[in-house]
Amino acid sequence: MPSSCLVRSLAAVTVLFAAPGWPCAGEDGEPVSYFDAAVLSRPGLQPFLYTPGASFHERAVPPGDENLDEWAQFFEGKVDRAAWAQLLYRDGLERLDALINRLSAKQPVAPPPADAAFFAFPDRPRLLAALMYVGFAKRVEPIALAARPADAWSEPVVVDRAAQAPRIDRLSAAGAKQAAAERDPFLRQRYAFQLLRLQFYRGDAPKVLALAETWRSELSRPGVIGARALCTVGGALRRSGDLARANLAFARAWDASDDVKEVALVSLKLASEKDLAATLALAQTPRERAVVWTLLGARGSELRALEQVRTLAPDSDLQGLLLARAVVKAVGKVEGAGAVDGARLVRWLRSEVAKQPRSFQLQLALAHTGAARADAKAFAAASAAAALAPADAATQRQLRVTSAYALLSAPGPLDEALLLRHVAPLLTAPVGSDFDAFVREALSRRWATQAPVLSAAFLGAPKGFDLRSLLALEAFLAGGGKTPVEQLAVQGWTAPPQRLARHIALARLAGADAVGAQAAFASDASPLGADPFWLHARDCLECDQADTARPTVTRAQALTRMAALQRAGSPEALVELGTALYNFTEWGNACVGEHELNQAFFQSAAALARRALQAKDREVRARAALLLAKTELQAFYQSPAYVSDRVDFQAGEGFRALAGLEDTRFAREVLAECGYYRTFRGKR
Amino acid sequence: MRRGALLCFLLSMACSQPSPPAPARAFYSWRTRFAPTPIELEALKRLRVTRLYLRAFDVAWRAGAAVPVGRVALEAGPPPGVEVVPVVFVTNEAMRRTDDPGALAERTWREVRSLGLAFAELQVDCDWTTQSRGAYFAFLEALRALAAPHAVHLSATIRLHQVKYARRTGVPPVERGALMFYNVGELVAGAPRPSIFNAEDASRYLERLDEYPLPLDTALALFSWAVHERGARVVGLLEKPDVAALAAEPALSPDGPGRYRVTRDALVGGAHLAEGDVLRLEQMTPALAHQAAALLDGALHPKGPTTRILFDLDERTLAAHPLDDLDALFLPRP
Repeated sequence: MPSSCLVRSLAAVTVLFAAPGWPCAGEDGEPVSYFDAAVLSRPGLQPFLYTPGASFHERAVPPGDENLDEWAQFFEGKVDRAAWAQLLYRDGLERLDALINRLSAKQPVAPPPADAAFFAFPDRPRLLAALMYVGFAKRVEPIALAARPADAWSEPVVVDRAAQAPRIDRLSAAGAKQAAAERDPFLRQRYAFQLLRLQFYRGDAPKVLALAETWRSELSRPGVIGARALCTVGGALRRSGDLARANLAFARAWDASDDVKEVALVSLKLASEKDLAATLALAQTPRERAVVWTLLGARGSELRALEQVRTLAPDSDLQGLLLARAVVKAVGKVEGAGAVDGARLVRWLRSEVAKQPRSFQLQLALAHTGAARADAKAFAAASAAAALAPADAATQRQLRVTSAYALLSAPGPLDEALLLRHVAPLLTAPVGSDFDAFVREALSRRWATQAPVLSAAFLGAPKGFDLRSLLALEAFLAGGGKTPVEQLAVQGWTAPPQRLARHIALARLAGADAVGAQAAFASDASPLGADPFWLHARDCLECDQADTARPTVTRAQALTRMAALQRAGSPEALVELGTALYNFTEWGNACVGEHELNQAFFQSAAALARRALQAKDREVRARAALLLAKTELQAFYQSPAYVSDRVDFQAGEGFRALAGLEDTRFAREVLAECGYYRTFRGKR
Repeated sequence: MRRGALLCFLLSMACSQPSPPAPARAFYSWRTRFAPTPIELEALKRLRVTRLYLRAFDVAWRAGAAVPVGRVALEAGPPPGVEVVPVVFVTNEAMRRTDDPGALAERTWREVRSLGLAFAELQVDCDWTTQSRGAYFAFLEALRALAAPHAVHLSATIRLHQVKYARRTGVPPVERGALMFYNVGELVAGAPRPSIFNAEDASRYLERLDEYPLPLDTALALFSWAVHERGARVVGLLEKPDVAALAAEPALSPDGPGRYRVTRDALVGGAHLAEGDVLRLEQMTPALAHQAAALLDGALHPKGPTTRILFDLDERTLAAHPLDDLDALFLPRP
C-alpha cells in the first residue's frame, strides 16, 4: 500500500537494528549528568572539565586573552585595549609603520582618530619600542603561518624551506640584535620567543633547543609567552625524538598559562608506562609531577591521577579538575576507554572524606556520585557539603540539585519532612535544566503504585491517555490536595487547565467519542494537514497535503463533522468517522501528533469498520473492508511480529471481506491501485 | 573418432559446473602514511595483487562542521602494476549532522583529486543508519555525478546487516558494493564468540547475499585486536596488539586463553587500563580467514567480475598469515 506510510512504519522499527554488535550509546542518547562540574574547579580549567557528548575541540573556552592582559600591564592600562588588539592582531605592517612614523616625527603632527589611543600614552619611547617589536613579530608571522591551509578542506601547503631560509636568516639576525639591545625584560622575552619560532618553522629543532638555552632566563619569565615558548621547545624535542622531555615541556606549558592548555594537552604523547615513568623522572618538583599526572587524568585516567595528585599536591587546584571529570563521567555513565567506575570512585571518595571531612570538594563529589548510585548515605554527604560550601550562586544551586538528587535516588521510604524542605522548592522554582524533569519523574515513580493520581499530578502536565485516570486527575487538581504532599503536587502542576481538557478530549476521541471531544476543540481554527475524511486505496500523505483543490479543514470543523457522523450512526457515517480516526494517526494525512494514540485510533477505526461491514450497500461494505485492512496493516507494522523484512504482512479480515466484494466499483479501484491486495489475491 | 572426441568435449562443457571467474586480488591500506615496507611490497608482488584500496582520509564532525581528518601522506607511489582505489571513510556522525550533503560531496571530490592519484574507482566507507541514510545517499548521488565525467566509478562498503535488512537500510546509489565479511559477532563484554569473525554469527547473514541489488566485491579480515572490557562494558579496542608484549606486560595477568586481567592501573598501547579491566584477544588466524572465505563463496555467486580485498596491508598482519594461505584466499571456489 503505501509509500510514505510504509516508510514511516519502517523508520519506527529500525531503531531496533543498530549495526551488529557495536555499542549504541552516544549515537542517539548522550550521557547526562546533573552536575555542574565548574563548581569544583576554577574558571581557567573549565574547558578541561569533561562535557558528555562533546569532543575536546567543541567545548566552550572562556573568553580571555592573557597576551592582551600582559600588554595592558606593560602599558599600565594607559593604552586602549581594543585599539591595541586591533593593531596587534589585525592591522597590517603598513598601518603599523605609518603609526611609528607619526609617533617618531620630529614635528608634532595631529594624529588621526585611530591613533589617538597611542598618542595619549605618555611614555613614547616605551610605546615605540613595543611597536618596533610588533613590527618584528608581524614579519615572523607569515613564516609561521606559511604551512597552514586556509581551512580544513584546503590542500596542504608545501613550504619551500630553502626559499624561506634567507628571509629567516635576515630576520633572525635582526631579531637577535634587537633582543640583545632591548633593556625591557618584557620585550626581550618576546624577541627571544620569535627567534625560537623562526627556527622552529624552518624545521631546525637543534637550533630551537640551542636558542632556548641561550635565552633561558628571558624565556622563563612567567606568563603566556613563556608558556608558548615551552610548547615550541616541546615540539622541537619531539621532532628530535626526546619524547619524555617533550612531554615535560608540554606539562610545564599547560601549568604556566590557560591560553596554551589546549595545545599542550593534545601535544602530550603518553602511550605506555615507560613514557609516563620517563616523563615523571624528569619532573623536578612535586607540582610538576602532579601536573603530569593531571594531564594523564585528563586524557582518560582520572582516578589513577587523583590518587597521585592527592599525595603530590594535596591542596592544589588540580584535584578539582580531576574530581569534576571523574564525577561527570561516573554519574553520566560515560562509555568508552575513559569510562570511570562509579563504585571505585565512591570507595576512594569515602576513604578520602574520612581523612579530610572538611573538604567541600570531596563531600560534594561523594554526595553526587553516591546519589547516582542510589546510595543511602549520599544525602548525608550532601548535607556535609552544604555546611562547607562557598556561598556563590552556582555552588548553592548545585547543592540544591545534589541534595534533591540524593533524597530522590535513595532506596526505601521518603522522609516527607525532608521532601518538603529540599525537593518542594525545585517544583515551585525549577532550576531550569533536565533535572526538573528528573525530579518530577522521580516523585511520580514514588507514588505510582500507592497513589496513582498523586503520581500523575507530580508530573506537572498530563501524560498518557487513559480516560479514567485523566478524569481522576482533573478532579484531584480541582480539590487542591488534602495533605502537605498532595498540596505540593497541586502547587507544582504547571500545565494550563485547557491542556488537560484537550488531553481528555483526545482520549475521548481515540475511543471514537467525537461528541464528548468536540467542546475542547470548538474554537481550534488550526488547519489539519489534509482532509481527514479522505479514504484512499493507496495512501499518499504528501499528495493529499499538496492538494490545494480541497478546502482546508480546521480541527474544529473536523470535530464538528465527526460528532455529526457519530450521531448519525449510519454505516456510511461510521466509515467516514473511522477514516478520520485513521488519518489522525502518524500514518494518516491529518496527523494530530500524538504517537501514543496511534493504536487506539487504529482500534477505534477498525471497530467502526467492522460495524459498517454489516451495511446492505455493497459499495459501503467495500469501503469498510478497505478501512479495516488498512488498520490491520498498520497494527502489524507496529507489532512485535514485524521484526524483519523477511516477515510479510499477513492479510486479515479486511482483505478477506474485500475479496467477497470484488463486483463493486470500489473493490475494483483497490485492485488496480493496491499491490498488497493483489499479492493477497495472488496467494489465494 | 575426431567427431566423437569433439562431441565428448562439447558434452563435458555442457554438463560440468562452470568454475567461477577468479576475483581480482586486492588489499586495503588503512594507514595515514602510505610507505609500503619491502615486506609489504614483496607480498603484493608474490600474491599478484592488482588493486590497492587506499584510505585517503576520513570525514569527521569537528567543531560544528564535517572536515577531512588524517589525510594520507603519500610517501611512495603505487607499486608497479597495482591500480589504486582511494577510500574515504565518512563517520556516521558527520552524515547525521551535515546539512548540505551536496557541498560535502564536492569538497570530498576535490580533496580526493588533490591527492594527485590516477584512479578509476572511488570507494566510500560509512556505517550509515536510518538517521543518516538520507544525507548519505544524497552525498553518494552527488559524488557519483561529480565522478562520472572523469570515468570514475563509485563504490561503497556494505556491512552485513545492511544486506540482511536491505529494505530498511536502503541500497546506496553506487555502481558496486564491497561487502565487509567481518565484524559479524557482538562486541560485548564476555562475548562467547569472537566479534571479528565466527562462523555461527556469520551464517546468519548469508541467506540473501545473492539477492542484493548491487554487484558485490568481498572483503575479508586478516587483523586482530584486543577487546578492552570494564565490568559489563566494552570500553575500547587495542588494534593490532603486540601479543608477545601483552604477555610480558607486568600490569597484566593471564586469565585464560587469549585473556588478560589488569592487575593495576596502567597505560598499555595508548590505552588507559584500570585495575580489574579485562583484555580479550581476538585473532584472525589463517584457518579462520579460510573458513570465512569458504562460507562467503558458498553463499555469494557473482555474475560478473569481482574483487577480493584483504584487510589490511600491514607487516604485523602479514606476519600472522603465510603467503600461501593468503594466496588461497584469492582462489575461486567452485
